[in-house]
Amino acid sequence: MTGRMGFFLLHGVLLAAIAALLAWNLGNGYVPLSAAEVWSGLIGDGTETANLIVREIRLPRALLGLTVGFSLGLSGAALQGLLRNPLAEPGLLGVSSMAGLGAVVAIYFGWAAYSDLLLPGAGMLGAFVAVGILFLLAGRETGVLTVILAGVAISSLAIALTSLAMNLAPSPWAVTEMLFWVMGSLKDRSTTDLWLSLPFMIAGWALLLSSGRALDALTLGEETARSLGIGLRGVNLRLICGTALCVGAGTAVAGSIAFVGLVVPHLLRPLVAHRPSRLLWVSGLGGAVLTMSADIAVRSLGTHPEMNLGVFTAVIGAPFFLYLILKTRRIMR
Amino acid sequence: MNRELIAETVTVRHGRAEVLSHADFGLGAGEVVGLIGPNGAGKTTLLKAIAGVIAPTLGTVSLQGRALADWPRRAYARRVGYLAQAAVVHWPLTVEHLVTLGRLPHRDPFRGLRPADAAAVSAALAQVDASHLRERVVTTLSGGERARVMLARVLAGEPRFLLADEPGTGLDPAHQLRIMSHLRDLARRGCGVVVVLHDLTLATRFCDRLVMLDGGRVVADGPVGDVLSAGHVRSVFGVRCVTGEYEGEPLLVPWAVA
Repeated sequence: MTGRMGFFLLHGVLLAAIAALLAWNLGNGYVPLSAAEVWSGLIGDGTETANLIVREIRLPRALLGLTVGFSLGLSGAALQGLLRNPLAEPGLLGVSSMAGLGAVVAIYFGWAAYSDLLLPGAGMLGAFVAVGILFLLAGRETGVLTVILAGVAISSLAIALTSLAMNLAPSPWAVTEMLFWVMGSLKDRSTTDLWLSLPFMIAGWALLLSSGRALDALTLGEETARSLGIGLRGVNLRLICGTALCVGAGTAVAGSIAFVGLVVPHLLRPLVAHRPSRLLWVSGLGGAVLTMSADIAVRSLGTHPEMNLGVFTAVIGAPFFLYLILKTRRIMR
Repeated sequence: MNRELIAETVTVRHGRAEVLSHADFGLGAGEVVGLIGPNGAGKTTLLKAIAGVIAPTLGTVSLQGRALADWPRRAYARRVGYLAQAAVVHWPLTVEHLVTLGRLPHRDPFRGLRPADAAAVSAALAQVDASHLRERVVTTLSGGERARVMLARVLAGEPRFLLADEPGTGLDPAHQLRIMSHLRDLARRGCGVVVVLHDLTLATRFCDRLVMLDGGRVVADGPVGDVLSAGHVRSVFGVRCVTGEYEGEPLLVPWAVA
C-alpha cells in the first residue's frame, strides 16, 4: 500500500478508527447511559448528571487520549527520522521523564493545592528544562550520538530526582499522587487539562509536521541533506522544540505514557513506503488510535484499582522494544 | 576557460589539525576535473567545502562571482550537486522516491511534485540506464546499480556543477567505467564536474584537468600529463608508473612502490 490511493486509504482507516473510538469513549463508562442520553449530554441538553458525565468526564478523557496519543505518535516518527534510528522515541530525549519530574516536584512542595494550573504547568516547565539541558549538553554539536547521550543523561537525572522526591515524600497521599505522573493515566482529567495543554500541543504539531521534507533529506545523511539546501541547525531546533512542546504538554496532563512513539511509527512505516515525511501525520493518527484503544483496554480489564494507562503501554511496549532490538541489532553494530 | 565555481585560499581546521591549507580551486562548465592525492591529502575536505557541507575556517568559496555565504541555501543547492563518498540511505526507500529527493532544492515547500520534477526524475534515471530499477527498493540493489541510482539522485537536481566523491569505489571495472562515462557525458552537455579519484588510470583517461593534493595543500593543478608527471607521482604517491597511449587515449598504470 504505497501509492497515493493507498495513502488516502490508510488515512481513511485511521480516521474512521479514531471516530469509532471517540464514540465508544463517550458511550461507555461506569455509569450506563443510552445513546440519546450521551448525545443530549454532549450538546448540553441532557440531565445535569448526563451533562456532567459526558462533557466533564468522558469527553476530556477521550479528547486527551486523542491529542496525547497524536503527540506521542507524531513525535516518535519525527525523532526516528531525525536520528535515523527506529529505536528512537520521545522518552529518549528525557522530555517525558523531566515533565513527570516537574509534576512530582509540584506535588512535593504542595504547589498543586494553590491552583489547577500549577501541576501541569510544572510538568511543562520540566519539559523545557529538559530541552535547555539538552542544548547545553549537546552544545552546537548536531551529531546524533551526542543528542542521544544527552537524552540518556537527562532521563537518568530525572529518574534519580523523582525517586528522591518519592523517597522523602511528606505523606503517603503525596506518593500516590506522584505515582500517577510516573505511571501515566487519562483518568479523572478535566476540560481545564485539555485547554491548558492543547495550545502547546498544536504549536508542537505545527513544528513537527513542517519538518517532513528535511526528514526525507536526512534519509541520505546529514552531509547530503545540507547539500540539498536543508539548514540542519534550524531543523534540529524545530524538531526538538516541537517534541518538547507536544510531549511536555501531554505528559504534564496525562503523566508518562511510554512506547507509543516507538511502536506506532514502526508498524506504519512500511505502509508509507518508509518515507519519513509521509510517516509523520499517519503516526500521529496511529498514536491516537493506540492510546485511545489502550485507554479503553485498561478500563475493560476490570482490575481494581484500574490499571494505569502508562503501565499498560509499558507492559505491551517493553517486549516490543526488545523484539525491535533483536531485529535491528545486526544493523546497529 | 571561464571558471565559475571558485575556492580561494580555503583552509579547514579540525581542532588544532589543519586538514586543508590555503587551497585554491576553480571549475568551469563542461570540464571534468579530477581531485587526486594520497589518503588524508584533503581531497574530500576540499570537495565538502565547495559543496557548502562544511564551512572553511579561512578562505572563501564563490559561485558565479557571489560568495557561498551570500547564496540562499536552496538556490546554491539547485546549481551545485554533491554526491557523497559511500552515500548512505537510512530507510529502504524505492529508487523512484530516492531519486526524487534530488528535486528537493527545486520544490516549493508547500506544493507537491510538479510535472517538471517527475520529468527530471525520469530523465535522470534514463541517463544512468536505471529506468527499469524505478520500483525497486534501494537496499536490494547491487553495488553497481546502487552507485548509478545515487548518481541519478544528483542528476535529478539538474545541477550546473556536480561534485562527486569517489563515485566508483568498491565497484567492478565495468561499473567504474560506466560511472566515469556518465560523468564525461555530463560534461559534454555543459555540466562542470569535479570528481575525487584514487584510481590514477581512470583519472588519466577521463579527466580534462587534475588537481593534486598532498598534506592538505594543492601541489599541482593543470593538464593531466603535467600533473601526473613521473616526478609528481613518485614524490606524492610514492609509486612508479607505466605510461603510454592506448586507442589514442593516454594511459597510466601505477606499477611499483618507488
